[in-house]
Amino acid sequence: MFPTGKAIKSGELSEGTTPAEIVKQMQSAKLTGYIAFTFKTKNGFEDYVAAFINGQMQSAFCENFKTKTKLSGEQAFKAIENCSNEAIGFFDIVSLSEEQVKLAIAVRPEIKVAPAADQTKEEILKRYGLATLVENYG
Amino acid sequence: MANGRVIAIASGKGGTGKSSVALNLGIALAANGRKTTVVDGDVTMASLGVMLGLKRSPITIHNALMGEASVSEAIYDGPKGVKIVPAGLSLERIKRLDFEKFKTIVSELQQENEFVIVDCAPGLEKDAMACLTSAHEVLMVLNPEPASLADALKVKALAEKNGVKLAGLVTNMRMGEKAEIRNEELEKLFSCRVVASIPFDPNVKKAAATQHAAFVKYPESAFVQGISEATTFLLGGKPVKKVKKGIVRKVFESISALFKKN
Repeated sequence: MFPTGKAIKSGELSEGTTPAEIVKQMQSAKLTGYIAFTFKTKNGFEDYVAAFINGQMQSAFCENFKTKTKLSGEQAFKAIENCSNEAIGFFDIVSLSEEQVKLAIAVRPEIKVAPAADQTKEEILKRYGLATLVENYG
Repeated sequence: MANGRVIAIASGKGGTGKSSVALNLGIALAANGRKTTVVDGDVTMASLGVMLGLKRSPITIHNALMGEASVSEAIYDGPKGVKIVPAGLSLERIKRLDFEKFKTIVSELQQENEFVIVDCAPGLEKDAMACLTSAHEVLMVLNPEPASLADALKVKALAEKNGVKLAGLVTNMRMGEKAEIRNEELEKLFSCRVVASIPFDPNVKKAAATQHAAFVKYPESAFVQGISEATTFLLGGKPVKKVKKGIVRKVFESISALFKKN
């Protein structure tokens, strides 16, 4: 899915740290590249890949080995956010150029995640059926 | 002691888990050695004393709000060294409460504590406004769905209008549903960080059913992990939660122990 880049961490063991927390760390570190993690969750082994540009998540993908369920884009992003903190697994962090990340997403547009930074408050409120609040809070 | 921080736990909408967050956050702060009092500001629908199974609380914040007693008489011991000021259960007394006194009561507690956590009443009536304006900062608890979001935005607007800073967001009861609002969308709407994202955790109800705090009864639960994130944020320091040892590490440590020289 992504080109070979510069490995920042490889095969790092994660115990008690959820994928969501790893994602937060990448956001703080302003990663441009991707993280790939394999976690054993209550649903079985799951693979996740999330790409970032300057800490903003651009794409997400996840696959459950047992059920063969695949999620892309927003659904995968939410699966990452909601992964149980009882999960244990391994992760790789790879640095790429911004162009490489954009190209990989262009090849598989279904994995794209719309960063909140690209949306206005008005757009977010409208998407959740709260258009009437735009005037006061948008 | 220097004046402590007064933090209102608010949501606007009822049922977001605000009281559970307020209570367990207070206990977590106390467990971390900070002198902390949690005040039940939901004076019409008291919950903190009930959640902890306080057997005898003859003097409550109701008495203080009616001028019948000082707040110091309404302080009770909770788990891990936290102090609790419960609300009363009487319907009759509610009519005689003077909400103007609430801010003074909280100020008195502020003199003696590092943290005063105010469990706010839901809604935007006198009781809720009294809680909100008694604090310097508000931690907003919301569920990742539109109704909760709408009410929380109103609370934010009122808080800011009254000079109360929005310190952070706590998203509670995440179910992992596709339609849930993302944390980064909430951060965009509120211009504020999500300091803890807590999944739905049945242990909270189980603890409440036995009148114990989840922090005490289920310390390894997902809910308590989330509370620890919020605690870390308030303490502005290193993470306070314990690292859970996985099977791999336990096995490794067991094998290492076999080779340790005595």
